[in-house]
Amino acid sequence: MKKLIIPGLLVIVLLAGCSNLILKPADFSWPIESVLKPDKNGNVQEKRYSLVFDTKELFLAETGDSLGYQNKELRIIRNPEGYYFMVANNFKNVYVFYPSEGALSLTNKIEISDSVGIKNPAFNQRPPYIELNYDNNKKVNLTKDGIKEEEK
Amino acid sequence: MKTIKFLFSLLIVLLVYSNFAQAQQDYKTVQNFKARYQRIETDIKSADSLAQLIQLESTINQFESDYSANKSLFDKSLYPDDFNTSFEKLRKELAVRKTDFTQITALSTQVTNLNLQIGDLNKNNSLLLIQIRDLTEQSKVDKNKISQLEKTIYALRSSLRKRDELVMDMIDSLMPADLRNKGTLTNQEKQNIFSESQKKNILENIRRAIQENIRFLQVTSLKPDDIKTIKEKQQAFEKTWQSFGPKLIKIYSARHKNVSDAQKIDSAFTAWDTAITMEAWDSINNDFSNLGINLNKFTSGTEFTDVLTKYIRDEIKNAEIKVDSSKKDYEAFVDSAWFGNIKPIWVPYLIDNNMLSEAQKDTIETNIAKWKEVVNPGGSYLLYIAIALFILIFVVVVVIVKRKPKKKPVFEDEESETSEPSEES
Repeated sequence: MKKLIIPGLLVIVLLAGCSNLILKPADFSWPIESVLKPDKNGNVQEKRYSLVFDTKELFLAETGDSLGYQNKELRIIRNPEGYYFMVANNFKNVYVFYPSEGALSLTNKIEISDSVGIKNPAFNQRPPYIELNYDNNKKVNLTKDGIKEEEK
Repeated sequence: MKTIKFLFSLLIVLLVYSNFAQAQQDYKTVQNFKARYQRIETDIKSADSLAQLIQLESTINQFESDYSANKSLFDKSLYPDDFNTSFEKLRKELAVRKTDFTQITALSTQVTNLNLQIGDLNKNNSLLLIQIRDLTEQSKVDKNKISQLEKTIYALRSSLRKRDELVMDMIDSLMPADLRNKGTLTNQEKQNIFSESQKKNILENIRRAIQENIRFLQVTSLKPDDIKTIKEKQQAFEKTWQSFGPKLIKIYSARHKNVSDAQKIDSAFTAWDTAITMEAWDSINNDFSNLGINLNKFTSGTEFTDVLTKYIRDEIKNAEIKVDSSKKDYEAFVDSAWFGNIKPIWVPYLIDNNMLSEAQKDTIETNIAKWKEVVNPGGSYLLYIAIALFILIFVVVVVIVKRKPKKKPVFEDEESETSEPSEES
């Protein structure tokens, strides 16, 4: 019985070591946002980063219209931590996603306007933030957790 | 007051602009950069002159300076290029295009020179053609003019050759071989060819070259070697035309300009080819004429055979009437013309160029043999006797040589010893 304890412990240590292997620092940031037009099935494709996903659920969640993706442009940018920020014209919120197995999972929904949708939104990469410009002269800094309040 | 209002408005505009500039989107900046980059690329491609390209050089410098503040953004976003490599590419494109224009400028200068030279040669050729026509007439009366005529013909031939070579060079510079072999030309290439061909007056130069070559053939009487050289030149010229003519006609057709002139070149080449063929027949007729034999005109092997056969048959018929002159006519036709000139000089050329068949030549010679029988009835009989006599003498000589006893080989001394007494005796 004692003979089995030591090899068993070694295996546990090795397995634990493998599962905790972390490569860092890593920077997932995109230098500029991508502006993507959903196809007739609601899919968008970002060729440079080899990213394809279905936007139907996102537009449905924001507009309540299952065909809300049609003739729209989705603006997307990824921050250094790897979170995707998505917005489109007339959205009230910015959606934050994180990649999971074969999907993008919503981690946060940041409200920008509570009454009307924002106009002409555009993201800029301003590490450590994502800058959102909208309504032609407004801008806010975003993190995955929400709007970063300007320090007074 | 108005000035204050204007300045106030300007201030507001500037404030709005600066606020907007601050809120500038990176995406839009990159898109603007790409659009401006593409515009400059298009301008480089469509530039019509070296001056435009030089102007673009400063446009590129200005472009680079305008966006250099955002260099780090472009370094990341112009994937797979970066800010510097993008401008390197643009400047390289500009340099390549500049080289094209430098070459075009050099070629244009060359073409201008060619045009001038061709113009001079054209004038010279026209004068020489007139001189030849006059000298041909004069030489009929004054034999001393013949050498002058020959010299003038030689000068014209050299001048024509030089001018034709220049026209060929001009075609080459208008549409180099790589363009001629290219399946489809771009609109820019078509436009360049069209404007260059207009500048070079290419159709007129080709048409004139063909026409003068035809006139040269009409005013001169040539030998087979000369005709062969001219035919080779005509074929090379026509081949060059065929390699670029159809493309040029298409370009002219699309612009509805000089289409018929371009199409006429094809028929001009056919006329030139026909003139070369005719030149051979005319020169043969002229050779007969120079010996006082006036034949009807012939333009083909069949006509040639018919005319000669008819002439011989007429001579055979008239032999009894003009007893004295018949033999002279025979000698002039057969000995001087046929065997002295036509058969050794012209017949091989005619046969090589499928202008006369062996059978047609045999027909003429059979008739010549018949004529000979009439003019010199015993001639063939005496010839047989001469041949038989020759054979007889040959046989006798052989027999005598064989019957002679064979000598034993002797040394020189012995031979001299034995020979001495016999000499004494």
